[in-house]
Amino acid sequence: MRELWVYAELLDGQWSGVSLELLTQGRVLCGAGGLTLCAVVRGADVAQLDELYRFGAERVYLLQGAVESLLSTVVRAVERYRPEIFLLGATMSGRQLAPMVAARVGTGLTADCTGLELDGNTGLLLMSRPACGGQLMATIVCPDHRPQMATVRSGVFAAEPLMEYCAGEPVLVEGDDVAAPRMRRLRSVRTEAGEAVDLHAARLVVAGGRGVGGAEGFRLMEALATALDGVVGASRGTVDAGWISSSRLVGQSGKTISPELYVACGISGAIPHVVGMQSAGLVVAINADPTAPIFDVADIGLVGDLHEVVPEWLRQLRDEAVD
Amino acid sequence: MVDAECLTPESSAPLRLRVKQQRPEDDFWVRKMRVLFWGGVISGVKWEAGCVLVGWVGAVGWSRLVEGFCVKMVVCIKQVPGGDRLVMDRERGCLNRSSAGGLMNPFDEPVLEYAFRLRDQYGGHITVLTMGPPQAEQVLRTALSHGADEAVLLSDRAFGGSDTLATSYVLSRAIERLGGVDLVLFGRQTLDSGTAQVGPGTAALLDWPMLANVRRVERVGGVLRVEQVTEAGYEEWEVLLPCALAIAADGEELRMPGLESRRRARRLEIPCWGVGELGVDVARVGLAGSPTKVLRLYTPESKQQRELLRGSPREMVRLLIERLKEHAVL
Repeated sequence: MRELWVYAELLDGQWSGVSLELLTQGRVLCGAGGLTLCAVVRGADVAQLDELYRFGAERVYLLQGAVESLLSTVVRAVERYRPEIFLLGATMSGRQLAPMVAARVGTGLTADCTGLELDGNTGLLLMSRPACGGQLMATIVCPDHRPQMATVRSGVFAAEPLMEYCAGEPVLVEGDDVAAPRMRRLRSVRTEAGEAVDLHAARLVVAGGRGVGGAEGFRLMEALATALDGVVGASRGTVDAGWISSSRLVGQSGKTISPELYVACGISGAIPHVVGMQSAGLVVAINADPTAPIFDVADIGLVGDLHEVVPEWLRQLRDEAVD
Repeated sequence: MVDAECLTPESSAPLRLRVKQQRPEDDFWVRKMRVLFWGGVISGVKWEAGCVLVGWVGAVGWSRLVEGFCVKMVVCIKQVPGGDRLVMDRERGCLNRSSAGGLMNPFDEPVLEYAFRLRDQYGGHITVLTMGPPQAEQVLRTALSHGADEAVLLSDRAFGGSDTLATSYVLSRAIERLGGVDLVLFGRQTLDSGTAQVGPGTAALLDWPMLANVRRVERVGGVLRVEQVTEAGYEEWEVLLPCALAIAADGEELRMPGLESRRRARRLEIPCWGVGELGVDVARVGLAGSPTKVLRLYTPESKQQRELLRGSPREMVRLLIERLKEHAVL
């Protein structure tokens, strides 16, 4: 039976959100196309695999070998088992691994898909992604090469476990280790342990742009986020200016998120930012410039100085709480 | 110190250099070393293993200091459409690049600056490479004016419509053709399509080690020590050359073009390599040679009922809270 592979990645001993989201969406695709859902993992304990079965994996390929030989081990596995579809999370490592695997195998790869479905007639994977800086959507296919490969950002699909599932024995794939690798990992350092923000999981994001005026201005964002029970995001300009940590960055070079409510304060709405937040449920924009492009993607726009509007919002929220 | 003979620009005779003994791990660099002058490269210099060149090469006025080692770098840059001049070719489902304005991809600028700093620090030679329509030459001239040593344009009608794999293939062939390249640098991604796939793809086709999201590069002995940003922090890697890196350096502002390099950028002839020069398999390039195909393009359904509120902050916020309650998000 033809297989659909999902590359599952561990971050800090936990399966990355996008891995479980891809398995969930993989179940839908496998149901439509009569494929077997398989997870491909490296460096996991057998005990950790249970979670993958719980999210729908019917088979798990457990890659052996060192991190240095990950690429050639994956390539060898693909060449041996010839999956029909291979999905990877668009994580930092996924975005490095996927194009290298695709180039070695000689197949196509579509980056940052926002939609994946199977064509009813041809059975081809229809991969949708924003094109032209988000002004248009493109549906991309890979008709003549296998596997059909795609990367997907986290937050695009939902992760839902199965009520009933059946765990199996993983298939071990030998590592393609070489005696003298041309690269060697010396160490892995965690830096954001204390202030890890989960923008992906947040239901509500208050994001600040250059309009907040400086690092001080982000206190106001923080206050609003706290009042609304959300987290703070930021645009490229503010991160580059050093007003806030890059872990808060929303947009093409940062995180793609889809919270229920996105409040853009003093953000002009350049395309690289918009692609990261356009799938939010409801977008509220506050900007003094009525011609700012952010108002084109906002459901509700407020034309005004955020330094007046946000404190007023906080006041009314407080008054409401008192009532 | 260096003892050099036959130091005239016209001479093609091999140089004889007396070099300072260094550590054995420098062998790698010694093999790779090139002597630079006039922005050009003299190859065929014979090196003895275990030696590294230190000091001035050549006579005053047309020489430059080569310290420690020279590394032949390639920086791959892209011309991206500027502003609102994007024109889609709906027939072919791709961007019509010949109509687009010409800006250097903003993510490539800090990489070019990073390459300059590596060259300042260790010596080296920088070739900028771009694939695109003939007018992409413009970004190469820009790079030259900022201080790149050499530029090559990869342009051919057959390349039009190439996807990331086909582009990686053309770039990898060009890097092979340049010969003796030690280090290829890419930007984090492009502004227009933003797939970040061409760098890793090119490295995979060359069969070179590759690291993306690199924020620091340092030479330690004969290898590079590289810091790669990860989701949780960073990782430190040791990489042998030749290798490829995608640099995610933020806020490295491109240095101002100097008078001399600006003049050079205007004068210098930029070779254009196509299918013939690169010896590429035409079945692997262009629209037909790309494994991914655009099936259709559509305008994303726009949200309805956009509302723009104006007036006093008090009134706007009152309306906003009302609307949010209607949407049941608060």
